[in-house]
Amino acid sequence: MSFELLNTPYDLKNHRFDLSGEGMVLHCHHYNAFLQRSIMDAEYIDSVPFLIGAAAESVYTQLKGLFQGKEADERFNIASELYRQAGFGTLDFSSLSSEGGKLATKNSHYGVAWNVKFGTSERPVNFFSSGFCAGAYAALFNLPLETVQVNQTTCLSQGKLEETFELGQGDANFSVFEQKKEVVIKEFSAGEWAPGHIPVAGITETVSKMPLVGNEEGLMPVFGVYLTRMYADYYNRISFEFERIMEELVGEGGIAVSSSLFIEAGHVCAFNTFGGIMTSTEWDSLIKPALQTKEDWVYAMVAVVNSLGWGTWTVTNVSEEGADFELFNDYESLGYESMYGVAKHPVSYLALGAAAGILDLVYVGNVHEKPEFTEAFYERLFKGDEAYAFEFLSCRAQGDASTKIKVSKSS
Amino acid sequence: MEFERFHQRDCLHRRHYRYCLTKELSSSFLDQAKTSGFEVYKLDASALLPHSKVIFKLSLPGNSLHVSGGIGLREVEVSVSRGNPQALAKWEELLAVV
Repeated sequence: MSFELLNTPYDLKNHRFDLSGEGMVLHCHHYNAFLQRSIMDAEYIDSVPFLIGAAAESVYTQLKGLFQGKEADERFNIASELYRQAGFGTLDFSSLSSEGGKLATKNSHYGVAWNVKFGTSERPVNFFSSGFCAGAYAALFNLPLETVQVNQTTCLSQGKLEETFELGQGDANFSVFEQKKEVVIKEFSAGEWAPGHIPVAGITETVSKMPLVGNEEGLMPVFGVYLTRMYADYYNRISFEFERIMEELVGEGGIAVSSSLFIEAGHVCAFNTFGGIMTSTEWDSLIKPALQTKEDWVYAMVAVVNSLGWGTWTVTNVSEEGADFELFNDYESLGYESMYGVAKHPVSYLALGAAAGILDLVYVGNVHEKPEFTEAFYERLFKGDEAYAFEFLSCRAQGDASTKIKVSKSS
Repeated sequence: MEFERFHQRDCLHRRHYRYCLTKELSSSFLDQAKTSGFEVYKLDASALLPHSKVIFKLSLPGNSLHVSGGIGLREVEVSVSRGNPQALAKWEELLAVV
């Protein structure tokens, strides 16, 4: 039986998509490429080993679970179909043996995204897929992760027509991390957070049931962007590992630098994905008919966020002056806790940048008028005088019950 | 049906257009799309979202073209593989006959 990613039910209580112990979250190619680029721009840090290792870690753990009781043919099918349906591109793992082998593809989310956003790359940059290959290879042949090697030899980002990966046995040439600790999804009561005329639960359920899977090319073109159903802990590992190394290198200043990069990545996410959603025909047809005011747009967008697998988001006290967000079991906090324990400072950077981005889009950008999403528009929304200010009031990763974010008019 | 086509952006290897139509799309448009060889996906979410309209997606084999829209709207979004004018022509032929 062929593997179907969406046979896994979406958890409408906790707003999570959990597949064999790995939370998976929807994010677009702009965010994926921007986040990786932000990390790689710090050339004084050797980020490649952990960019690959982060993917290998999640994929290995997940596939080991999914492969339980499965025959070899089914295992190959699961690995290949998971990769395609999650929107990463296409890879046929059935050509691998326990000795390794070479994988080639013409379809790659990261390879193409990088090329289009940043131009031709001098070297292969699809570190996520390298890690996916390594994790899948180890899981397919019951090899310890620290005994496999992966090398990407060509990349679509280089303008090549084909992307290739070579796999074999040997000491891992990427970071292998300690096993993550299990974290508890905390019980919560979000209560009624939106006005009664906005069917927030219906919006979340409807969008969560949309068939968002990769097409034959392993790509997921929707809302004007290319989505992936990515491993939450891939983002978490590459972000927090980068921050850890930055702190080691330059102390508190390192945290300030890394957090500002990750908050900016949150803006990029809001601008492209939320902007794409709020100007889509799906929004016009499904959601907009129930909306009366700009505030309603904020509530409705938060309801859509709850279909992305990011944990539970709520927002209250919404006005042009600002809004109060409260997040329960946000994926960044859960990831930090499982990898590094209790945080010394708030870590939900994506959430912070994205929450502010919703107000920027609605009140500063008048997204209801379907503006053009240009670079100048981005600059005005997030770097102009009218951009909203934002701050953490609490964070689950620090032991708080929830993550609270205040967004307010800049003074 | 007459229309105006606006180029929105290029994204990866696809071009995105918004089409403004002179009249609202009706359910019979989807029947015509099927007859013309488009694959049709339809979602009626009115049980959960009472005010909502039916949304649809049309596609051509090989993912050369995708159309997203809603019944009762006068606007659709189209994405087409670059260098595939035939797919766009086929879509505009469909509009011409409804």
